[in-house]
Amino acid sequence: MSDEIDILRRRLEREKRARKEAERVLELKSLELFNANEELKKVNSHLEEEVELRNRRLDEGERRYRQLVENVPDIIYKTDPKGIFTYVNPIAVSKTGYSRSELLSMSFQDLILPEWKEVSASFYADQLKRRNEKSYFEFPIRSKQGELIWIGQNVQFQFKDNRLIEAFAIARDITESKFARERLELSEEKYRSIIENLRLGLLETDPYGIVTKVYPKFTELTGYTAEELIGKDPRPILLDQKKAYDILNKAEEQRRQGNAGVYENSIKTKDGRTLWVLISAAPIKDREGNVTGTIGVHFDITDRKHIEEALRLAQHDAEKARKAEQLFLANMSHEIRTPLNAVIGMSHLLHDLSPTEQQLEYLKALQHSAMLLKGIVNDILDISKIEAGRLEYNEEHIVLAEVIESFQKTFELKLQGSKVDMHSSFDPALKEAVLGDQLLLSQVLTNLLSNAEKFTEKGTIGLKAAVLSDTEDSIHVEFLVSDSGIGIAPERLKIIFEKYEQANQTTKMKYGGTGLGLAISKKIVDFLDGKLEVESKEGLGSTFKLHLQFEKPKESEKRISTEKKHDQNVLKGSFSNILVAEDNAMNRKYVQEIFRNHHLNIDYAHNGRVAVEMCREKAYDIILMDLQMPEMDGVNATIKIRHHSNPNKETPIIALSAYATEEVKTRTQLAGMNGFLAKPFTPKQLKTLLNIDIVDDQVSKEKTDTQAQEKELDRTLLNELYGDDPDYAFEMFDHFLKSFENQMEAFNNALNSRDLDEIRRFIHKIKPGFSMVGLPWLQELGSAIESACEAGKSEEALTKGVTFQQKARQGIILVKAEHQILQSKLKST
Amino acid sequence: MKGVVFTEFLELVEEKFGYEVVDKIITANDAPSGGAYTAVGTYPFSELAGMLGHLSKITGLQPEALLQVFGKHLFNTFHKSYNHFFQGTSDAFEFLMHIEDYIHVEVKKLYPDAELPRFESFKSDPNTLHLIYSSERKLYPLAQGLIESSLEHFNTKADLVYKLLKEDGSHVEFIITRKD
Repeated sequence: MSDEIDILRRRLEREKRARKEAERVLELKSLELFNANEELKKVNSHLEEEVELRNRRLDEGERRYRQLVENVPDIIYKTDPKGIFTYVNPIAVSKTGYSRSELLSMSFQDLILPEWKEVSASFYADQLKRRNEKSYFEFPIRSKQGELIWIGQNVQFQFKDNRLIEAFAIARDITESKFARERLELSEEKYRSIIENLRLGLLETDPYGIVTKVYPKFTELTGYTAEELIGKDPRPILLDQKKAYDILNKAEEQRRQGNAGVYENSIKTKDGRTLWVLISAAPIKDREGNVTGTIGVHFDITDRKHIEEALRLAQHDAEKARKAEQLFLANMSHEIRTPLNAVIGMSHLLHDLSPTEQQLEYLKALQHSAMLLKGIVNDILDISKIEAGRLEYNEEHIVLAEVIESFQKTFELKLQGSKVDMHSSFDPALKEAVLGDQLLLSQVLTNLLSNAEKFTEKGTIGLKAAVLSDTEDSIHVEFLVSDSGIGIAPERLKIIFEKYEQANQTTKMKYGGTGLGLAISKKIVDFLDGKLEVESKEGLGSTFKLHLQFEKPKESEKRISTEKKHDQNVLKGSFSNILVAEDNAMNRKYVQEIFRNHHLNIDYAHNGRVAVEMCREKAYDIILMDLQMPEMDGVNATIKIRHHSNPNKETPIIALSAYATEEVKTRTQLAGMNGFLAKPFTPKQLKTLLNIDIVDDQVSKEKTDTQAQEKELDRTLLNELYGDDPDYAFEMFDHFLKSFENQMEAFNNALNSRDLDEIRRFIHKIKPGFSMVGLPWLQELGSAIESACEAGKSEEALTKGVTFQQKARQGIILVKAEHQILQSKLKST
Repeated sequence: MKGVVFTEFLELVEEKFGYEVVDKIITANDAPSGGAYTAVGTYPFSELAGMLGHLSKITGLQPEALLQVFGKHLFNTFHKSYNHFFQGTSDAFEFLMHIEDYIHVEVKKLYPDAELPRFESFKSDPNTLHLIYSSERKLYPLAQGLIESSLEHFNTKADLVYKLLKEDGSHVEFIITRKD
């Protein structure tokens, strides 16, 4: 029993220990479990935080994404399969003008313009049918406010199980670029239509010149259809002249050298017409810049060509007419001047007929008018000559100082008695000779000084010559011609040098003239490479500034200008070379007769200008100078001779004039003349003046020569007088015949009265006329009668008077016959 | 070694031989635990090996035979306490092949300090299963008992042979051949 109790006790003991052990283990496990639980809780809460953090991040991402979607400048929207909006971003709202809630009940089709609805519907139906997920389409919509907006949209379809569930669209307002494109298209259309309307025929060729394309206008232009040209070389078809080929080849050569240009050529149309076209060609290039051909633009200029041709012909004609006119005017020189010279010449002759005081007045008026007319004619002829390019430059030695002095003298004389003074000065360097055309220079200075004189009533006119620059070879001179006259208005200054322009119309009325003087001067100065300018103040006067360059002669050619006094005592010694300056042929003949037997060398000048020219060529022992001469009178000729380089600066000059007044005599002295012989003069007077012992053998001479002479008119004399100018001759003959009977009657009366004075007066009056019609012996006879009358040889005078009557009657038959011949000559021309 | 093995062992000894034998082997064994075992505790394997030796001496039965019987007993205990391991399968081979990769994995989750033998398995043909037991405790007769009970549980008639892959019994191959 005790064993059993022991076993049970031990068993109980073991059970108790096992329970406690189990409790301990369980306690331990429980603790472990608690710890594990705590740990788990911690992990859990960490997880929650983590989840929250992740959620927050997700939120942030979504917010950002949304922000992005809502802030992009594009319209973003979603629709259901029927096109009803399910999402719209703010841009969609602002663009369409509909609110978000309005849009969400609309279909995108509702926005599209009515005429585009079908197009867009069929486009998207097509995309759906082809299961195209992505597409792009442009269409116009109308906003709620009625604004037209062009939309370009990218749509993405979402399919699920092959069914459309959603459409996502990003759309953009392309109105701006659409309109820009439309504008571009419009402008392209505009230019295309302009080009079409311009009738520009376009033709394209490949690089080998073979036609690849023909535009309709080209067909219209040439008549060739596209089929007739494509694939062919157009040249043999369109060009039919060698000239056209030449032009084309030249143009192509130019083009090869890179000179793209426009040229004109003629082409042949299908119906054989010739067209003129303006051709411009440009290379056609591909994207790489390789030339793949040429496009040629052809512009029909046929009409223009015709007009051009007509214009060219018209211009040619006009030019020809202008040339003819200039030539005509230049050639008129002789025709116009000759009768004018006759008027002037005749008026001079009248002076020699001892006119009465009143006749003298008329004569002065006649001469003044004739001279004025001559001045005008000369101006017109001068400008025509200049414009016809006939101006010639004759180089000679001139001493500018002498030119100035001669102008000083001339104008001093002219201005005598007026309230105007002439002042001149020059640089001493101008005493050296230079090379130039004295005639042209004098013409310019005369014009300028004449103007100065003309427009100045009182005060001063001046001529000043200064040296601007002086080198070894040339000298640059400034001539200043000034006046204190009326001046020129500023607006007229610019045109003062133009043809037919004067300071103003009033000037023309008051001062007369052609208005050509300054134009001629300007043209001459231009011809001489000089410069002519004017400065003026109205009411104060004008200054003309003339700049001219003169070459200097080589040292060996220089002549020294010398100043010497002219006195009345030079008329001594013998004369072998005589110059007679006389416009009246009869007077020339008279002088010739006076010196006939003295074996003298006598040269004749028919006016002052010629006399000056002759003085430059030859040294004379004495010069007989008529004062009244056309072109240049004796006083002016003398001034020129005295002041310009020539061998006759000191040669005695005797004035011959019908006006023997003191005033005239003073003028001749001032001009540098050495003596004065009043016309008419006797041979004895002349011989006495010249201190020549002349044997009067005229009578014996007459006897030997008359028989041969008197059967016909003196042709030599007539030729000398009229040359081949039958007009002038006819006038003279006509005039002579008309006055002949009256004159002869008057002479008869005088002869019958036996009054020697009366006889002398009449014979003096009528004798010059006989020389003018080729009867010089009658003039000589007249002179003899005059001499006899003067000597009081009554018998001789009367006998010769009767002879005169007889010979005059015989001579008049010859004159009448010649008059007839001249008349018929004139009629035939 | 898990306490459940000790409590089940003494349960079986008491059932077969009475508590006197239980008292004797505990007393004779004189282990540090004093024989007071609880299923939730953990005890040295040597205490079980000592009690098994004393039982063999007292009963005159071979330890291997004792272990084989103990294996059969343990199978029943496991079946009662851990029934869910037996759900979802109706085939003995399938069950056995899953000891290593399923049951032992689950046991380790509950008892991380448990020291378990390894059971590798393969089929050399559809009806022949090879199970290789590896454990330094050399308790292969216990395994044999467990396998036999399993076959019985799933009503599988099969021949079971084993061969020692190592003489000390730490590596043993069981070959199970289905008979029907």
